[in-house]
Amino acid sequence: MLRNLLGFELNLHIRTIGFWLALIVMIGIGVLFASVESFSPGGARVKTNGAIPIAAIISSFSLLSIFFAAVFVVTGVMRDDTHKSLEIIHATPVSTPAMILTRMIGVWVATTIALSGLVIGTMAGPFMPWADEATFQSFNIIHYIQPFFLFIVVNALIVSGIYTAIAVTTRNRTLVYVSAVGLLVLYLVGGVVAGENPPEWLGAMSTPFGDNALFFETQFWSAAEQNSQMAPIMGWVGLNRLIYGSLGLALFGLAFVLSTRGIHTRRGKRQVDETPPPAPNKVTPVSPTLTTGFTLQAFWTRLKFEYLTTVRSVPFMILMGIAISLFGFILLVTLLLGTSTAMPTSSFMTQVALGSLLLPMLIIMVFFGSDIMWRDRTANMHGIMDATPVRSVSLLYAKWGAMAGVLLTIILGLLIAGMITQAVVGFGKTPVVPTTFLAIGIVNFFVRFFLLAMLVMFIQNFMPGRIIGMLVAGAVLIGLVWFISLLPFYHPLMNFGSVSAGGYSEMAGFSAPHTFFWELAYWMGMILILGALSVWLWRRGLQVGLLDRLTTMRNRFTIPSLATAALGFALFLGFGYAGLSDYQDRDYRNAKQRQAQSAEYEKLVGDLWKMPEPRIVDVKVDAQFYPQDRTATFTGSYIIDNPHDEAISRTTVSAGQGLDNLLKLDIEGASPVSGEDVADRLAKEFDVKMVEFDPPLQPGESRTVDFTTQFTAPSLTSGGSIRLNGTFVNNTAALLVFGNLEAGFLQNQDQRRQNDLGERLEWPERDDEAARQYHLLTAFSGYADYVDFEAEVCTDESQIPVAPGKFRGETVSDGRRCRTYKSINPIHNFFSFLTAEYEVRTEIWENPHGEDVSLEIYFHPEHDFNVDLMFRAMHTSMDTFTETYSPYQYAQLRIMEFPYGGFAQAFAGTVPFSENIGFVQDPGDATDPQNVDFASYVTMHEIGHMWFAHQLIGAFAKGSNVLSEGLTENATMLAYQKQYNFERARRMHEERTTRRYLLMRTAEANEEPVLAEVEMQVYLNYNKASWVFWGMRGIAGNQPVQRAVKRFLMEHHGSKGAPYPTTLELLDILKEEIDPDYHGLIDDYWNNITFWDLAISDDPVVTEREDGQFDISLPITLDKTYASEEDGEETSISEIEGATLDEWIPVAFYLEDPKDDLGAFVDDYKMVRVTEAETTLTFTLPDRPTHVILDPHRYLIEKNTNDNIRQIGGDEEVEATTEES
Amino acid sequence: MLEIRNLTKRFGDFTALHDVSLTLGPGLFGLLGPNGAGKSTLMRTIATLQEPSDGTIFYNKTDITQDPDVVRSALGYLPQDFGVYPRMSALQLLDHIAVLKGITDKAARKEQVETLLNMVNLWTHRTASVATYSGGMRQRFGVAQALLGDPQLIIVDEPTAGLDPLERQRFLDILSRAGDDKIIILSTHIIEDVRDLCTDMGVMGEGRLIVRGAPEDLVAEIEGRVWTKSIESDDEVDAMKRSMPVLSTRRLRGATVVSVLSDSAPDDSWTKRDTLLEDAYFAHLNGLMGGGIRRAA
Repeated sequence: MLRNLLGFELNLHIRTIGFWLALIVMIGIGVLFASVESFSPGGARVKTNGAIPIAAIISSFSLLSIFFAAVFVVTGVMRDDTHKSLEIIHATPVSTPAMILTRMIGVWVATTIALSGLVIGTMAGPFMPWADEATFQSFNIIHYIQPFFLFIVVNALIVSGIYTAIAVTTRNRTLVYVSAVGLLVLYLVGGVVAGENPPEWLGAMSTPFGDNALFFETQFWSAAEQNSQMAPIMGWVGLNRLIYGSLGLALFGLAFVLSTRGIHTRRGKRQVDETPPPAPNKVTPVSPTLTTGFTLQAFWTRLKFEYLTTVRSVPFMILMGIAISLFGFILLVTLLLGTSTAMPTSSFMTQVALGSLLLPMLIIMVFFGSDIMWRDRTANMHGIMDATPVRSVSLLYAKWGAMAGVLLTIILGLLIAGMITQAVVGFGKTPVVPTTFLAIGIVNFFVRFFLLAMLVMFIQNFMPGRIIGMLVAGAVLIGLVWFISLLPFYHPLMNFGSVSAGGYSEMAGFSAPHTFFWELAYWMGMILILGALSVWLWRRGLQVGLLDRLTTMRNRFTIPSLATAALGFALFLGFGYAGLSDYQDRDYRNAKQRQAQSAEYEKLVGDLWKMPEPRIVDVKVDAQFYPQDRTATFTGSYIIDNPHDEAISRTTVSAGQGLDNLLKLDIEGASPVSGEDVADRLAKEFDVKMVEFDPPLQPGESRTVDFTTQFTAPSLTSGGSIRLNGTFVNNTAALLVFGNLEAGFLQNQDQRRQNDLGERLEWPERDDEAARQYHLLTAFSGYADYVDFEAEVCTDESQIPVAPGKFRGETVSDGRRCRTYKSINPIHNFFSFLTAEYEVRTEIWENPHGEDVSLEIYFHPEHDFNVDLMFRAMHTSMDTFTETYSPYQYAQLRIMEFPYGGFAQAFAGTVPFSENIGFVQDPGDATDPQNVDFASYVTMHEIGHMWFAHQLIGAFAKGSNVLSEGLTENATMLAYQKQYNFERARRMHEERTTRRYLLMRTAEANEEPVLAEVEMQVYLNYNKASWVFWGMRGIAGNQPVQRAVKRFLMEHHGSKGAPYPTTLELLDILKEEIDPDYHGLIDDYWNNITFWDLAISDDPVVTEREDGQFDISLPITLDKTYASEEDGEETSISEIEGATLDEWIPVAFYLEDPKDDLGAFVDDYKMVRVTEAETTLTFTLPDRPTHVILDPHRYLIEKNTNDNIRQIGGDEEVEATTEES
Repeated sequence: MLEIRNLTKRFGDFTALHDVSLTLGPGLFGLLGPNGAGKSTLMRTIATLQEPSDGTIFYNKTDITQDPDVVRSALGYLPQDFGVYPRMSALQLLDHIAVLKGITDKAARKEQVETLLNMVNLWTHRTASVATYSGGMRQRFGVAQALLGDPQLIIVDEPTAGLDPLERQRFLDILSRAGDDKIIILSTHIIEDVRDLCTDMGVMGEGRLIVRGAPEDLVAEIEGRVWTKSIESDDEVDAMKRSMPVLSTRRLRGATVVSVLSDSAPDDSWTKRDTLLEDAYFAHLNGLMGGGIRRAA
């Protein structure tokens, strides 16, 4: 019996279109993510069909089961209610348990089968014709089977358990669907939690599908491990599966217990208890008035009806509640878990309120789109309504309008919630600016949602049923939002509903307001066309097959509808054409086309770039900003020379804004090359101009270069670089650039392979003497050593123009403010110009080595929150760095705020600093050891660059970036610790360094070089370098490390010119200054990819001695592995012939639980040297410790530190008695 | 005046209406016919809910297949099967439909809605959600909405199906009072309703209008020609169905009573009985009255 029933259930599911759709979608996703490069989590290093990528795809996309499982439950468990067959079925002799059990199992099995599409898809992926062979390894069936049982079977159990429980307790279809959104929101919140670097257990449990558990379990795994090893059962994944699987099972059980048979009683009718007036026999007739007023009135009545019915419906209230709680959750998570503590400004709060709304909004559109469009047919009211004289436009547009109203309601609701929250959280600090909320909310969120929603309404008009309509609309939305831009022939004009005014800045407003208007007009044109089409094809009456409607469409052509369509076409085509022309004018290319162009470029210039280049030695600039027009003109003159041994006959130049905006170019004794294939292609396709020196530029000879460049006003489709308020441009964007820049070459290995390029061009080796003639910035802004710099910068009178160099004077006339700057020392050929309406504050830093230095902060008047803090950081940095390293080299140190962006950049004595960091960052409570103060940290980092990058600059060779960023990180940690204390520095190390290095290295697409040979890898230059210096300072001592850095700086000071230093020299000096006992450690840090693995292997034993001290024996294990550069495969030292352990291990003892300050405050600290993999350490301590930690400050690069800590328990009773006596 | 000319309606291969022509003036017109005869299709086509495949419908000389708004503004339509929006009271829903029917004046609307609710005896339930109404209440609500405005053409499609006798009577009362100056088309399976109410009627079968005429005329045509006999054997009944002009059979106290149409008694065992409209209906439906559409004299 049971078997027959179950068979019937499965048969039933298999016969529904929803089941097949789900299965096909799952297979499609599997194929897509296992074969298409832009989606796959793998690549050449971590293989696309590696064990962990497969598990990641399967566990992540289990999420989608929350949608189709809801449909299955409605079909399987609730079908008697849905199909009104309850009275028949429930009266049959089938036993209740058998009926309910088989239905529940049916749903579970159907969900499992549908999800198995992921397995089929991922298996099939590698066989797709477009799949890139180099991203696959050999097939291993077990890599699919394990995730099938671990994720699919369990996840199907969870979702079907949840829905079944809801279905049997409520017997309400809508609630089942709405709970899908609830689950999605919980999932999103889980994602936010996981993104905020929570404790591992919390992150692993944050989502019920095991995907985050898998992430936290394998986050630091090397490529080799990810390819070959599956997620261990005994770990976060197993625990997650156990907990949520049990929950699913429990819900099934609950559903089983709670399910009932038969009809639920309904609510009674309301009846007014009064005697009715005598019933009339006749009614006074009222003739209809069918004027335009009627059309409007009917529209308005319908609009109110549709809108109110929707917002008063239970699903809406639940969804709104969910949206508000999503906001609340995200707020809580960012406030409680987050370390990047932004101030609650109005634009930040808008982002919190609406930033995570996309997915819920898409669901709302799909759900209410179907609800509203099919309302009359669902209610079976259309027979009556469609026979009334009401116009179709009144009915249809009321639906569209109601949908828009619903979206607006949600957004306004959240904005109000955001405003109230800001008023509370930011009380007294940040003012609530309702216009900011509204501007961002409407322009950046509502308009796009509106356009997409209207598309959904349009689609529903063509669909044969509401469910199919929902599925199609959902698919279209997903395609538009996530996938369309990946098409090889993608163009922004295809991206329906993509309307943007650019980023929003509290300083400068929207970055591209005019783009917003044309895009809006363009897409509104489309909406009008869709609107007219929808009226023509509106379902009216009973015979409403699409074909029928198409054949009678002609009857519906009315003057207004034709006019609407014509206007729509005019707008769509007109603005479309204008947009297309502008995109073409500025040579728009999509991502794929850009890659292809980069490849072409590299092939074209490969040989050309080996020619010697002239060197810039002197720069004079006259910069004219016109913020009102949003244009600028730069007139410059360079002196170039030839430091090489051979004459230069040809070179290439480019301009940041393209050759079209290079208005004048006058190189002494040189003229442009034309008529030659390469030169013409360079100019035409790549905006690079080839010039010929005639006579050639002889060794030692100098010549002058005069040029004029311009920034044009924003075009229709681009925001432009010059802002109304707050412009920041650097020399490569603004001026003429000499040199053979490789910056545009493709770096990604997979992309290079696809574009038929060979191996990536590596940076020169460190011992390449020719390369050492050039310094690092050559790669960025062309060949120069240091240059003399002088500039006059003019702007509107209301703004202040800023450039590097000492301020020489200001003139104000004709509404223009001009300032002149001249550097007192030569600077890099790397500088920037800014102009904005600034408030300026100045302090003096007393320079022990010379003239006082003026410290200046130029900021947006409303962003004065952290100005004092930043001044303090400036003072601390200047004090620390001059004292530790060398004198400061400029007459001033300026920080200038700029809009948009999220970075700060150090130019000579000037630091442009984004408004989004620092200026609006909450430094938190200065005494709280858990706090990190990024405002001060970033300020210190940029000032550190005045020494490391501006005083000391590495050769353009491997490892040199670490001489800028790594040495700066070292200096910054020094200043940060000086400003606060060791506890705060320890916390910063944890937040900024350790996890980022371990995590980001796993995402490396190419190879991970050793630190001494790093190129551009951020996770090495910043994070690993910071870790290594922190470790060297902690183990070998701060003094010798800083002494070595200072020596290195002085011996290779940039002012000495070429040859420039590399990490070879740095390591030599480090080893000279640091005791040979630590040279092994230095090599492990710099010349290997080393991981230590420490563990306390057993409970420590404490014995009290007769003298009142305590003997402690601590059994530990120690391993050290070297990871391969290629795929990160780790080899233990025990497997390497001749290698031995000889490690410095810090051991710390505590008298109370050290978790609040990450063990920074130590009661007893011992440094031991360990040479055995297993050993028992012994100590004698004056007090009985409660906790012991190995390497408490994380000096050693270690992935798993959970086993480094032990609570020392034991005889607490004895302790208690001792206290009493 | 409603004039239906050669109306044909096909759904794919299936012809639901077959060359139907019918001209109707004011008065209650009853439409009879078995399930699937095309009654609803005809009524929906007149109500502009679907378009004919061939033929036209003129309402007061306007071709409504080209200009449906003309009939919509004069129409009161009660579909055979209709639903209502959930959580809307009779007052709200009637008011809402009144707006859709073009009653723009708020006061006039209010008065009409309230009068109609009274008229159909729903006044005490006016604030209750229509969705919770019983079948009879819902049908009365349906007729109320059909009478909104000033309908000159009222179409009610099987309005009394599922109503108890009292409800049914109330409904028919309201309908018959709706006015003699209006064209009212009523389709039903209850033949005696037509005889009681309608001055004119038609019988449809297999998409054709078989006969049209006043009920009394149709009865008069076969007056005195209906004979019945009670038969016990089922085989005999079957044989009779094949060989004789059987009007109807029905079970009565363990035997089958067979009625046939015959000018004289087939034999002595048959007895003559009073002629019912039902007999005329079956006579036409079963093809006993000769081919072609005819109008009863």
